[in-house]
Amino acid sequence: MTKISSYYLPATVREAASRLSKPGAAVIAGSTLAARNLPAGTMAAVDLRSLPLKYIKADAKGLHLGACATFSDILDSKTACAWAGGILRSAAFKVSSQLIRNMATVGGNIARPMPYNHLPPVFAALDAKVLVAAKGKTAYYQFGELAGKPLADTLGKKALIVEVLLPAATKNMRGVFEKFSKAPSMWESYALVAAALAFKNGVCSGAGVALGAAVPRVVRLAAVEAALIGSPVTEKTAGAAVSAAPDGLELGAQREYKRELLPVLIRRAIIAAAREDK
Amino acid sequence: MTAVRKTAKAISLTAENGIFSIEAAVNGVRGSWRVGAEDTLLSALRANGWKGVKRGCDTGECGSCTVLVDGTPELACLKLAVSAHGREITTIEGLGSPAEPHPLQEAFVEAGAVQCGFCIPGMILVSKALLDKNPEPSETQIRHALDGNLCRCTGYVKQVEAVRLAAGKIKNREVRRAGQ
Ligand SMILES: Cc1cc2nc3c(=O)[nH]c(=O)nc-3n(C[C@H](O)[C@H](O)[C@H](O)COP(=O)(O)OP(=O)(O)OC[C@H]3O[C@@H](n4cnc5c(N)ncnc54)[C@H](O)[C@@H]3O)c2cc1C
Ligand code: FES
Ligand code: FES
Repeated sequence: MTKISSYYLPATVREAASRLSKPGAAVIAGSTLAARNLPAGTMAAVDLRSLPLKYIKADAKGLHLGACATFSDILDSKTACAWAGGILRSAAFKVSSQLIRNMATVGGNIARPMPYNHLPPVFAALDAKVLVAAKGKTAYYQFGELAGKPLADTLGKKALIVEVLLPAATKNMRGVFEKFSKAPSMWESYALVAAALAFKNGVCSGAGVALGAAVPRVVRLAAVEAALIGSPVTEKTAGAAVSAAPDGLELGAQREYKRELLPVLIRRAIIAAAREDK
Repeated sequence: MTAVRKTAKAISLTAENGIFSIEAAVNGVRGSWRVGAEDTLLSALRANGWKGVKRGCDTGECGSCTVLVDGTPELACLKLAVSAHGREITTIEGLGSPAEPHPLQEAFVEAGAVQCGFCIPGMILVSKALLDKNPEPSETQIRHALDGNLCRCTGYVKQVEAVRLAAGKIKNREVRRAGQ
């Protein structure tokens, strides 16, 4: 384990970013992954828990999830649980245990995304924006630009996630999060699907469908979305939309199983989301 | 000794010879602690005699290392000991004693929910946090709360009964207190 010599609990984001910019500094949030795996050479840990980033609030821009909000905070927030048909609630509820839900933060879930992390597909499907403090400035980035890659690869090792914003337009979408595995301990058999649909007069007017875990990095299924938009969503239209979903995806281990599973799981998520509309 | 510097509410701790000195309350006793830079909260608590915190998997999967951090159940094996600075930590030893057990401890014994006992400190602490927040939980809520605490001996039935029994005991105790 890396031996640190300094431990900081900054009071402001600015101070956290400044501490983080120093050589050998690394961030710890809920610590479910970081405590035992600080990057080699880390000398100073910057603990984010004392920052005022545990908030979940809605305004005209959308739903703001502070980077230090935990999965349990999501489940405790009526606003978050109701957003987009309860997709966040479902993603939080399905996290492996209450003890992890109490500790694991939104920021940590997307900063170093393990393929099986729950929030990347949800944020991808909902066109989330991520507020990041990096290189002396704070700016929103489209989640799709970062999606599934370690933050360090895209914005540098010193980037600090401040919040995730789900656009106001996604509030009334009908969202469903599906998780499937052959057994809880078989990571390579996991598949996550986030499907969010908008309807106008019974016709699908907008769709975000994203896949996680079964692929190395979260992907939006653009062809599936395009096939759904413009028609009512039925078993038949959803079935046709997803039939070619696994084509061209990097499925890695357990490819045959995933080729069978994915169309079923994606269709199930889409149908469940469409049912929510009724 | 560790230099502790406070600016506004920001805190900066520096280790000397690999040792941090932190201020934390463990089971209601506030004090200074010396913890190694690499120590997890689990290893630090056990090294200081709080053996009710169990090391099972050491990877966050089993829940036997559960402690309450400012009242919330967390996994001590996934926390650096230094992160306990400024926090209130409760282990099973902080809940009751053989002479004066907590209603949850009584209930776990009465319901026959304990076999080898290894998972029980974690189960009881999680249940304590649940009942503090929700004094009358449903079976589903109890099962949801206990979903990170694995037991290799029992079938997760008696523990649910025990939490329900404890909820009743705590309610009766409060009614009695209110009547006094
Ligand atoms: C036993 C176990 C079960 C798990 N089950 C699930 C599950 O079911 N679903 C799931 O999605 N995940 C699961 N995880 C993974 C993990 O808990 C989550 O990814 C969690 O959200 C990580 O957040 P954290 O706050 O604990 O991050 P930390 O462990 O504190 O940090 C993780 C990484 O992110 C960086 N980081 C954290 N916050 C920020 C920030 N604001 N800005 C920049 N960088 C940051 C850290 O530097 C570090 O590199 C599990 C983990 C374990 C150990
Ligand atoms: S020892 Fe911590 S979860 Fe198993
Ligand atoms: S009683 Fe033995 S592990 Fe639970």
